[in-house]
Amino acid sequence: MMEQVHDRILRLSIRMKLFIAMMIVAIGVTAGVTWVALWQQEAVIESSLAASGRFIASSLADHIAELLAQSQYFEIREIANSIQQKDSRILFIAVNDLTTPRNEIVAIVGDDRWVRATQDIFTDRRRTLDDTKLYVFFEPVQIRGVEKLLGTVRVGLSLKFMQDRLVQTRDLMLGLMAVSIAFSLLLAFIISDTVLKPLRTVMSGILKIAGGEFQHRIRVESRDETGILAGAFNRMTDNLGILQEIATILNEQAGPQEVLTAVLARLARSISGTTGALVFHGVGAEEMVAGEPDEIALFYLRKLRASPPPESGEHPKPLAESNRLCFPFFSENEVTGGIWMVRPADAVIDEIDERLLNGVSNQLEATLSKLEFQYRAVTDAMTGLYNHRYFQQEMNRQIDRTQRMNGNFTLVMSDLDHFKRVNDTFGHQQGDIVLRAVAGAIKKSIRGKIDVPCRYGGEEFGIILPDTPLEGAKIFADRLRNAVEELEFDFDGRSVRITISIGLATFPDSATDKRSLIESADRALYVAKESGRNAVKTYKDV
Amino acid sequence: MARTPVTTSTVSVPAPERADPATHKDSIRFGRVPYGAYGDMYRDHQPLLDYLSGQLDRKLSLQLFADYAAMVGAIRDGDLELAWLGPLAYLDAEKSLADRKMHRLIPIVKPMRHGKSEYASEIIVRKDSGINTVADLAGRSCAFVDTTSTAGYLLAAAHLMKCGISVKDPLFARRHFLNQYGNVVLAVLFGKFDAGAVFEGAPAVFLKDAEADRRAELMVLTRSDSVPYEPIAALVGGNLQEAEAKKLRTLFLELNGRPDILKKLQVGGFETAAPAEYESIRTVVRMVDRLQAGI
Repeated sequence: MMEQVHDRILRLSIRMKLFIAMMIVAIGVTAGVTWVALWQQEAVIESSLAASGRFIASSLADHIAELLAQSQYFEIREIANSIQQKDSRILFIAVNDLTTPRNEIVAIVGDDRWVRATQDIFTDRRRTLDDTKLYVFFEPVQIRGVEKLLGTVRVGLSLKFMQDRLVQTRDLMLGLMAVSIAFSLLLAFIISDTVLKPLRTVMSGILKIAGGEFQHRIRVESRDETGILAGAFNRMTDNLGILQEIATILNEQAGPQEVLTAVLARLARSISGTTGALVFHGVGAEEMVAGEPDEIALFYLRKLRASPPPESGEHPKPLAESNRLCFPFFSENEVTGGIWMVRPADAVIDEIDERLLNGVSNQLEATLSKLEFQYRAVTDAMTGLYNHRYFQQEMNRQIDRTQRMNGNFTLVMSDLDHFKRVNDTFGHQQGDIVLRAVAGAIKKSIRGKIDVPCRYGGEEFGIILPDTPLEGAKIFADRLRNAVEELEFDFDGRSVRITISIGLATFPDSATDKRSLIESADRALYVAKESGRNAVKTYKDV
Repeated sequence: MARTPVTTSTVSVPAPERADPATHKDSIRFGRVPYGAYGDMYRDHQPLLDYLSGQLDRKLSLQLFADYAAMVGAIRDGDLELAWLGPLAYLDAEKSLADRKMHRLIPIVKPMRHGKSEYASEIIVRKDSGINTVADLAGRSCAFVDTTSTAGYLLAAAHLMKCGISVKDPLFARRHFLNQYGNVVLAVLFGKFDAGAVFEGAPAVFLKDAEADRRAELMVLTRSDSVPYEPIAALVGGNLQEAEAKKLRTLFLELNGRPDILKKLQVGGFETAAPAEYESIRTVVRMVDRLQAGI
């Protein structure tokens, strides 16, 4: 499937592009070098040839001046012959005797055609005759110190050897070009293999993830751009997973504190580092802290909260420094909290971390606002337990459910013993402390998200234990009674203890409707009170 | 001049080898002035030496001399038994032995070339020079080879004098020596000199290949009397006896049946040479001596 996608997308692969580029570079460079080399070589050879030609012509002219004056033609011919035999570049040598009536050519070495064809040359000049390129050098013959012109010397040097050299160089360069192209292609192959292999792995990984294998992670060990790309992609996938999980947590019906704790725990597991969060509009408008407190982050967030809201309504900038990131929540022009992350000292917070936290904080911010609204509607503000209204709703739901499932549940009604005395003796604030402590004991005793603890009113608590027969409820009630009994308060230097009386009624054994069930539990509670308080009684004891 | 005229090479020749006194009684030393490269001379003469040694039962060795004067000196000192001399050198050598009663220089054979055993000097001119008779040469310029050249100077000068050109004529007064026959041919062809003295047939020898067509631009104005070619002479009375000299003559004459050896020596054959034949040259020399003296 990947190859199909591959084939459909690819028109000119990177490898092919690399091959073409390398080939262009190889051809371009060698062609350039060849052109320069040939040009330079031609210039050097021609200059050297010109120097040789001048030297030969002028030396010969000097040498034969006396001989020409004495008509020693055969000696001149011998000298010219011997010079030509020593230098294969010499095509011809011609000596004219200007003291003869017809300016006779008295010595010719080489092809006489070239001599005749260059009769009109009186300076150094290049000529092409019958496809042969030659360089003709001209030199007058004079005896030193004598003005009279005796004759002339013309020497024709072949440029063929120069052309041969140039052809040799060209052939050499063509060979070099071939080698260089071959080498470039090899190099292109190696490079493309090195570069493309991890890239293909990345591509294949992306296609797998795109195809739904969200657990797949790309394995690229190279520490180059491809490695970084793979790493970034893996982190992106991780972060998407984190956001997905966090979204799930946020959708669960739980309190803000639970949500916050769960989200931070998930973040801490995903991002190696210490994370924490602070929400200001928590229960009772108090700060709600999750994770390990970090003084710098706390200071920063509190300072942000205390500052007047920004006029533009812009989101306050996060505090990011080396291994710390502090991301504020911002709602309705107000800083409502923030999340922070402190990574180990040798790690740094990067852009990806920042974006992840941004995403998380946006979700968290919205969810927490919504949860808090819902929470406040069903929660008793002082104890954090469900309120009376929620208790009534939950009773209805439990009865419906239990009837439908043909099961049972037990209602636990409890009341603090002699609570009025605490209020009267130590004041209502100490009374509130006692209520909250008992609420805490209740929360510790119940089964997490199964049991429903509520404040029924005053110092009275109603706890619904779903799917729990009377025997099980009794164990729970005893445990709760013990836990409350062990609570110890220090009011004005006096140690104060408190007890609780508990009445149990099981649906549908003791009653078949809500009202009867509550009454049944209340009667059991009354029996417990009557029996001397700090006791657990059931509807059977009534 | 006895040097083979076809050559244009000048050869540097070391001093003649002095034969070992203990062995030279057995060997016949054969002297020659080279006309070509030193190595070529030995190579070309080896068949002759082998042939003569085999026939005589005496070893022959070739000794090369820088010029005829050196060879004449060796003859006078008794250091040569056989010598291929020029006509003038022969006369000089004979003269140098005048006070040596024991030794005699006997010309035994002379070479033949192109079927002839004698040669003459020719005066060549350009056909378009306007010179048609020897008399026309008066006051003109003439090129010669050198003062010792038989055909290139001696025979020509004597002939011109005999034909009436005055010793005082500018032709002689401004005589030019161009060292080589070839130079004389070319100088006349190119019009640098009105006339030139050369051996018979010289233009055909020197105007070859591309220049062959130009032979027609030249003509022979006059020809001197002939003289015999240079003699091969034997020094009798020392290490060589007269009988052996006669035997050598016979052997040389028998070479006419050995074209392989003759070809190497660049001759057509050999003929008997006699002292009297060279007397005509003495006359020529005397005439030219007058010219040299300016009288």
